[in-house]
Amino acid sequence: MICRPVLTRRGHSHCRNLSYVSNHDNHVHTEVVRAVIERGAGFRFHVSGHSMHPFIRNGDEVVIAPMSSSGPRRGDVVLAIHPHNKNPVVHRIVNKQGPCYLLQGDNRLFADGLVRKENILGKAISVDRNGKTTSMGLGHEGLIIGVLVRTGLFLPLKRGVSIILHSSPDKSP
Amino acid sequence: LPSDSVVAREIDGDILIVPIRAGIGDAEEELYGLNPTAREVWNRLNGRTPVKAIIDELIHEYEAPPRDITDDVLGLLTELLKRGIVEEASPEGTAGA
Repeated sequence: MICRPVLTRRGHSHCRNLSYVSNHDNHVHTEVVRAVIERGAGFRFHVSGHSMHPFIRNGDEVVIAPMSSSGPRRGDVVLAIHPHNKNPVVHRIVNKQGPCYLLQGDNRLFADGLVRKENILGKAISVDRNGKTTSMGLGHEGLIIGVLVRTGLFLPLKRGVSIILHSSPDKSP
Repeated sequence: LPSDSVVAREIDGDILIVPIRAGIGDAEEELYGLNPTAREVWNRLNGRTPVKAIIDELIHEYEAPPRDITDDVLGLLTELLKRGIVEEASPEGTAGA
């Protein structure tokens, strides 16, 4: 008996409407992203996790664009193939060593490891959160953020800013 | 035939399709999957083979009522056309050349 041909909508916000249950989860398929980027187009998808907090947060939609002709640069937030687990990851380039790039999440103590240029799929250019688009942390300021992340200064700095912002004025005498 | 503005890749037996709209492939709004049966139709879409020939091939290949296969293929193609994933080829079949 032939199984019926089915067209399924896989987007995050539509998967509950499906009449056909897919064996795939909706994670980003590297081959699909690579194919879209090779067309010169951008790619928008949901990210999960907290490793890039505060610039990219759990549930944000990130737009990845093809790399510019000058290639990846220190400070860029990129979609790359993780050097160890081979999953796609959106992290920052914090250093360059020969032909390889050192990746690290802004909210991580340690780097992911070195990736080669061919495993960097594209560059994050904007983030959609609660209907608003931002590119904070994705521009030229990325170079400074990258230095702070690599030297381990970013997390204490972030914590300090967070304490200041969340300290209630009511508690002051 | 498949539209020029879609990217399709076979992943674990299914075809994943991302239309490119305004320069962006949007995995949140438009990421489509074709199951292995729909893949059999998709892989025959080349802009030259008429839909009737595709249906005849599938009828010959699968043990299912011809009427069901015809309805399913036409239904799938209608859906793909509606979403701009495929386009009608010119009668000469030159669109894909």
